Amino acid sequence: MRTYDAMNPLAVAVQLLLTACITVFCMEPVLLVLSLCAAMAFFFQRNGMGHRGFYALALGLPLLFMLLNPLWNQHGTSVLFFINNRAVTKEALYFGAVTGIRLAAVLYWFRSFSDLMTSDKLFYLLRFLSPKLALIFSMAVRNLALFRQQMHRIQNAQKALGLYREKHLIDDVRGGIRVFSVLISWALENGIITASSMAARGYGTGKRTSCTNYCWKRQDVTLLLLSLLFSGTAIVLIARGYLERQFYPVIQPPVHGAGWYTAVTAYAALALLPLLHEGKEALIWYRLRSSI
Amino acid sequence: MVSLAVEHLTVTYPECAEPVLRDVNLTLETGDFAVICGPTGCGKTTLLRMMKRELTPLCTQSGTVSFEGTPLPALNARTSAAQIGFVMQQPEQQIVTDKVWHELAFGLENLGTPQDVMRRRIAEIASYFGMEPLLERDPSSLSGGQKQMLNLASVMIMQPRLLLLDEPTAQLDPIAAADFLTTLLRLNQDFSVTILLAEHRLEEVIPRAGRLILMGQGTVTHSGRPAEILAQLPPDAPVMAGMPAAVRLYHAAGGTGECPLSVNDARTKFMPLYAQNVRALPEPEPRPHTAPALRFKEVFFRYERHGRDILADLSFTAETGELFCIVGGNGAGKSTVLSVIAGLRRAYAGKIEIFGRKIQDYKGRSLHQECVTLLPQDVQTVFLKNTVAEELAEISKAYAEELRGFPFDLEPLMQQHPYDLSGGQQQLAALAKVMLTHPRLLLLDEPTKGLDANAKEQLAEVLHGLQAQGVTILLVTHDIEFAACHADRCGFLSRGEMISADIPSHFFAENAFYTTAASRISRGFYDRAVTVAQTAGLCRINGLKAAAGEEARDAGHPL
Repeated sequence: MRTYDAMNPLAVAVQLLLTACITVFCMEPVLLVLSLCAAMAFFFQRNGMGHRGFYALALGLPLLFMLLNPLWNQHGTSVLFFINNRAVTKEALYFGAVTGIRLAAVLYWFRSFSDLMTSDKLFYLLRFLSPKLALIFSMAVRNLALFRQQMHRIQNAQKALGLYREKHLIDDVRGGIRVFSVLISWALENGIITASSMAARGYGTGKRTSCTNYCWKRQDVTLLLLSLLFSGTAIVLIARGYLERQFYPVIQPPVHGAGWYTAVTAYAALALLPLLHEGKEALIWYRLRSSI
Repeated sequence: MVSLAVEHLTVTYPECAEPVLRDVNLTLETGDFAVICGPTGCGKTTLLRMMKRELTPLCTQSGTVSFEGTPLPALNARTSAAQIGFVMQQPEQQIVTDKVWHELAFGLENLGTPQDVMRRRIAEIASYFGMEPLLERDPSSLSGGQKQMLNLASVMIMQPRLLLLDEPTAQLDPIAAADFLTTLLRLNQDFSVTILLAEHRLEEVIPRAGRLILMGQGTVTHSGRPAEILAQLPPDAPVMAGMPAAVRLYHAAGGTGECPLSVNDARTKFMPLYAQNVRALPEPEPRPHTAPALRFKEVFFRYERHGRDILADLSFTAETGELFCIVGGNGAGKSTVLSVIAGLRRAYAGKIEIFGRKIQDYKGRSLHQECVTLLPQDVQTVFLKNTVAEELAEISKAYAEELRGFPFDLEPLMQQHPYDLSGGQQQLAALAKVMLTHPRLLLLDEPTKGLDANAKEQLAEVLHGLQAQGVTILLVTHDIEFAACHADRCGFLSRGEMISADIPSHFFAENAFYTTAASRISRGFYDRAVTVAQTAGLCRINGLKAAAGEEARDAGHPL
């Protein structure tokens, strides 16, 4: 079974980012609710009931924005009641709720994005931009960890040598500075060895290639193409204004034409791609396993 | 076919009057397994680096180095990088990337290898080196031995025909080192890779090497089959101290017959030549008992609440003025013992007394002030300044005065940067720094790691000097030869418990597996001979068996 995790990171990143971006640039409530539901369902599918606090966001954010927006926003015509001589309008409440849903949806998508895109996948994506940058990134990640380790070692060594006096703040700060400065010499010293090791293995002898752990299978290509197709459709239609909504001064009813339906359907398909994938894989796995 | 030819190579570093290599001539045939050894500073590293174009130091050189008939400068850059592999001493610093699979790929990426070829080669090499479970790991989470194996694998993945190794096992524990050397031999046997290995851990290498190259002061002094070279070497040659126990025994006992290289050789061919009238040397005077400096009583320690016990029911006593060695395998808890004594970690149960006072009673930092000092394994972490003199002055302005009794002359090192010193010099400079804090109990973690035999002797001398000043020394080591020669008592730590503690001649005589090479050689022939000196002493006392003496005389060997 090939979970969404194991798909090509580029295809996954394109799908997740496009879904999130469209959510950011659209104010159609139906589309936003769809987006939030799909995002939550995907998150639930991956994490189950863990992260309870995060689930509370889905309800909490729309509620919070709905309550707060009218306090600042005096637009709208249908006044419900007054607080401190300020009008609380139906439009402002509605707009606040929609904004809250939008924010919650985007948060969910990015949470899934950061869960899925571990450092080696980001590294894979970085290679598309620049293989050299990717190598530097990889070396930096490694060196930061080494730095922290060595700093700890030096501090322990100095402590066990009895170099720090009895509880003495200035002494401690000075000790810290010394440790930091020697850490720099240590890093330079080690850098020379690493550089030799790189040169010995042919670094800089010509054009490099880049090894990756991920390849393109048919599924990945399909995922990428579908993502582009669905998001392209949705974006074009949104740009044409089919999902345009006005909340102020009065909430305009949506125009449920062919354009509206196509855009929402295309977006729904895009947002549900991860779940559809997982569902399909689970089904195949179930069938295969029952034949074992 | 000639793999590597060095002809009349003379190398001088800038601003140095004397050349570091002087008219070196050397030829390696394809498939040779050659070991190169010599004292620190004899030019081994320079010679190895002259054979790898990418690492050639800045210098003036005359003479040529050629690889398979082509002079190095004329080699194509990628051919040179791929076909001559180089592995250095430091396991950690040679690693470039943050994933094992990526580290393996690094060399191939540099050569512009296509993706599918890389994937296949990584799979191949990972399977040959048994690294498949590690591929997704971060190299910094590997053990030292695994790291060095990764360095070897990421050179081998480029399919080199010549492999140069500069003290690759110096930083490894004995088991990892043996694994590494076995892998080298396997590579040599399986693929006829030509191997040139600079080493000072010679016990296992020499018996299996096809060629031995001895260097001294910038020249190759001897080159040929190990047994032949070692038989004719004068017993007081500087490289002798690092040779396998069998070779040292052969020379110390007077050198009769063929020179044995391994324990097996020595037991089957050498020891039977000697009579066994006197089975054991007289027992040494027992060391008079002194007040305990350190007492562990049923101490327990673990790193995590739900983890396993690293120290479990540990009880032992070290007496004032004693040199106590703790030996044991990897993960036995040796270093943990030291960090518990040094107050870096706290035992959760049991009693630890240092000079009669409970460790908890040393409030604040009073434990480290003039009482307990720990010299860590990575001795570089001790240094903070730009010169050795500044390091020492940091602790005490009158360091010259205070170090008058220090059994090693530090004067030539004073103006050097601590990182520029050799491993042995670093150890001694760090010891000097430590001594300025006037510890009464000195804790040393693997002080002989990476040192050659002569540096170890120097270290031992310094330690005995400190003992004479009344310092108690607790030393943790893998180096059982060092423990056997220099400890007053040895303790065997296994799974966090002190299994046995005794004077070396009893301790190692009773162990059958975890014991010195000399003890394994003399076992059954003599009793309680655990060092080369003791065994050789018994050989000399007993003399050759009459028949053996005649045989040797007939064969024309000197007696």
